[in-house]
Amino acid sequence: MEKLLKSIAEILEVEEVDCRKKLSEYEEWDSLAGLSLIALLDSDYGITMNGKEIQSFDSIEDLCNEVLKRTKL
Amino acid sequence: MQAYTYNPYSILGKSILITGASSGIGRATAVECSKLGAKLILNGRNEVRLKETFFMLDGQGHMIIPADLTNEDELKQLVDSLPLMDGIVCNAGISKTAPISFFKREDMEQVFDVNVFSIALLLKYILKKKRMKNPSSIVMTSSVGGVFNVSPGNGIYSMSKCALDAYMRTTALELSSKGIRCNSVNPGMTWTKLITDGSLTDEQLQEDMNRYPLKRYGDPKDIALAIIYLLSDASSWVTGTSLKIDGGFSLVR
Repeated sequence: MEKLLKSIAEILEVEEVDCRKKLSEYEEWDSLAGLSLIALLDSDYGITMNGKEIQSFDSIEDLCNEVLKRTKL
Repeated sequence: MQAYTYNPYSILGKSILITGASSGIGRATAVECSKLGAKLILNGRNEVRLKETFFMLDGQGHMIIPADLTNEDELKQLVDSLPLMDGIVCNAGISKTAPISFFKREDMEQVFDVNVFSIALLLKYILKKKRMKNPSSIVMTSSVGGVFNVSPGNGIYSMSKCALDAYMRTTALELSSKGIRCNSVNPGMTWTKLITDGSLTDEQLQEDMNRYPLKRYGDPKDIALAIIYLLSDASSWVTGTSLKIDGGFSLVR
């Protein structure tokens, strides 16, 4: 979780992320950030998630939990 | 009522190979060409979807040859079964979206293999076997991406389409003495599965579409009709051209 949050912060180019927030609440969240996150989940976690799915989570925490759940499978 | 028979854009009776004919721009090109009386050879990897295209065609005398053009043996077999041709549409293409810090060698190789190398090898063997008439026409489906503009995340695809256009111009020059013309169509965003793969959300697509002066993305048929112009004798003096078809997008970039 720590590692993923750090990666998301890097993508958003912020110091750290507030995991209660939605990705879209960040000003820095744009299509390139979206593509970066898709690519990150694929390369570092072996998870295929499309843009629509990533946007569907109510908070960054929910997204992280889903990623962790899937990596455990 | 007077019947107008004058049609310099005719492709009636022309024998034309279309690669990537199982979907998108390739399928639309096949359907439009058949309505204009061309004899088609359809190629694609997926035989089921290729047959779907085949059953959408007008007229008689078409054939399908399934083959994976990135496999050189299959490619050679395809070339061996080709008739003498008036035209080729090199349309098969794939995309891979990734920001530059996520580029992978395997992704780059795969995209270049389909979008560039397989086309160069296909034409090599077709020329060796002298399967092109004099005159005849080769059309490549390129993109505005890389050639006329760039967009974030689209680097690998853009690199491949730039390479394809460079190859197209070289081909146009080298084959001019044989009466073979070579051009590309360079579409902006067109409704094919290349853009509906889910990388971009519906909202992102809608927002992007609104930036187009003509307020819509391209329909595969918009591109097919431009390909037909380049296949027809109406474009007899056109070679080495990248024909931009983008609803005016590059005017505002």
